[in-house]
Amino acid sequence: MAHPGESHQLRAELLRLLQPAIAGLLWAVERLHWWLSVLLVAYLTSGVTIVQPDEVAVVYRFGRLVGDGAGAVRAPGVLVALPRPIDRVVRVPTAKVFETELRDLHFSQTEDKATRYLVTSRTTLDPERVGYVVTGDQNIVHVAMVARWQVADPVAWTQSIDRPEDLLRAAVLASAVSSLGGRAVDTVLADGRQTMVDDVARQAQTRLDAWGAGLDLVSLELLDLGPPQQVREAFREVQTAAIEAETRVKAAREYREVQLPKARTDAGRQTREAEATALDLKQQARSEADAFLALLSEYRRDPQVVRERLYREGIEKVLDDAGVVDFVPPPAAAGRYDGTRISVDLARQPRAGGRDD
Amino acid sequence: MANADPAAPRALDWLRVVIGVAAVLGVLLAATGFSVGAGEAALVVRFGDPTRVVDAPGLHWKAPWPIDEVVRVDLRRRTFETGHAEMLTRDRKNVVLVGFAIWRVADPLAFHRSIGTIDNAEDKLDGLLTNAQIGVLGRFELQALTSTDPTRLRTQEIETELLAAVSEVASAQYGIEVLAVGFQRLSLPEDNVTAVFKQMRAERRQYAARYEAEGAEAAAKIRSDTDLEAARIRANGAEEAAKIKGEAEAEAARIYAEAHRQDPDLYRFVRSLDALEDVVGADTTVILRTDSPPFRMLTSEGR
Repeated sequence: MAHPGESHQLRAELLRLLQPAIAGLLWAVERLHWWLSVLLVAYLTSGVTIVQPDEVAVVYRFGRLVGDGAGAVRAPGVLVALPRPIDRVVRVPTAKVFETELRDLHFSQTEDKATRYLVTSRTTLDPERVGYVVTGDQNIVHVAMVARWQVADPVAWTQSIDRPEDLLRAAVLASAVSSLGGRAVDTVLADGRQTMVDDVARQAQTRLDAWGAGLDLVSLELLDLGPPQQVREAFREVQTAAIEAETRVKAAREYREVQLPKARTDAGRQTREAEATALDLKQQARSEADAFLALLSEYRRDPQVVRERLYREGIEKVLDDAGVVDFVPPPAAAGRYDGTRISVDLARQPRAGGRDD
Repeated sequence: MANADPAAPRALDWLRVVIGVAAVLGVLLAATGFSVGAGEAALVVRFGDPTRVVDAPGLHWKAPWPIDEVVRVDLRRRTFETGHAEMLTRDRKNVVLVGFAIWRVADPLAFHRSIGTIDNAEDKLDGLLTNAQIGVLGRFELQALTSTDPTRLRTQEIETELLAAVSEVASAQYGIEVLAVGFQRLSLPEDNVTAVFKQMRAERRQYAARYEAEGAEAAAKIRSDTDLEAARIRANGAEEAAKIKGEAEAEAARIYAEAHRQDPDLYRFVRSLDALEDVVGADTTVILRTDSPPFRMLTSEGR
């Protein structure tokens, strides 16, 4: 008998205890039932998604892709989908360009500066702490790159690959190792740089496609490419030598620039001088010829006199110039000189009259 | 509050019904339904024994909890990177490699039975890959990995062989599909780097010397070419000058000759006198006959 009464009592007690909570709930339902409707509507429309202009969306219903092929990819705009857990809308930033720095092959692989200084200032390189690549001619170079990439296949992005950046890193690094492994350090450091980068990008894209990654490598750019600090001095010396060689050649060219015009000037002067001389010669010839012709006409008028005069003038001149004049009498009929000789030293002896002093 | 609203019990009942039905439905659905996403598979494990593989995405049914359990397996492609491992090539050269594998779970059941988690799978892959690298590299020379001669490079071949060595075991034993294998680092052991540096420096010195020699040679060639050309220009000038002079002399001679031809005898006479005048100087002794003009005047003959 006590039992039903007890249980009844217990129930009454419980109801009394819960009275404020129940009353509050009822009050809420009564006063806020329109609020609940709002909440319900909000839930039912929670699947409606606005897809931004720089992205696309894919919808999964109970985990299964809605639509197939190109139809599965929803363009930007308002997308009507059912609320979770029925539909799951995944937005994919297809227009976004992701940037990934690749420093695994560079001495800056170690981020902490003090450690980096320690590991790069030694005479050797610890492969686990200093990144580098071995070139085709067994030289060591550091290379740091930045890859810019985009989502090419939104479906693969959401369901086929885990951590896309890891795939991208592996593809680019493997391509860099193999591309640099096939090139000489000098082509890589000089004009072959861009060809190498293009080759790495192309190889990396081929790998990504083969793996079905659905990623597009937009651009690959070198941040740094150079020999290790330990041998940098030697590389600089080569540059210095190249510059010096160029300077010497340039100096030689300057010498040429100066010497050839000089030679041309000399040659020109010589010919001009020769022309002047030629003019003189001809002039002289003509005047002498004229003089001779003048003499000739005179001579023809009176040959004996002119001849005599010429001879006398000549002898006078000779006697004027000569130091010593000897006179000999004409030989006798036998035709032999008798040795008589009268010597007159015109240079020393005062001339007739002795005007000396 | 004793003055209970007559609507209160009715509202209470309604609420009870709604909450009750919702709860029952929710529990039922949670216990017997599960969804499989794209890119994953589910194993239905009955009393601890995986009996069913569900790899079609969508909503699926199972027996409630103590009987069936669902284990999800991620099927997406992922990258695994090995640590640095030193190995020997066929030509006894040491290299330090970091390999990678692109892989995914291909057989969820085999994967679950043999490994279970991604982390464990990576441990297994590390072992497989390292062993394969040691084996394959032992058959190739270092030149197959780094060479300026494209015919000696065998990177593609090495990767293919590595893939063959790894993927067979991975797929047969672990239900893993390996899509690609490669190297993302190729370094030399620390002890060898010093020698490489030494060689690099020697090579650079050689280049520097070559540049120097080539520069000197080119400069010397330009200078000697210049000298030669300058000499040629001057010689041409001299030749031209000589030619001009020669022509002028010939012209002069022609003028003279034309004049003299009129009376060669007079010309000879005048020339002889001129020559005589030229020859005689202060230290010349002239010997004259007393009967030569004008001294003839002094003798009897002159009169």
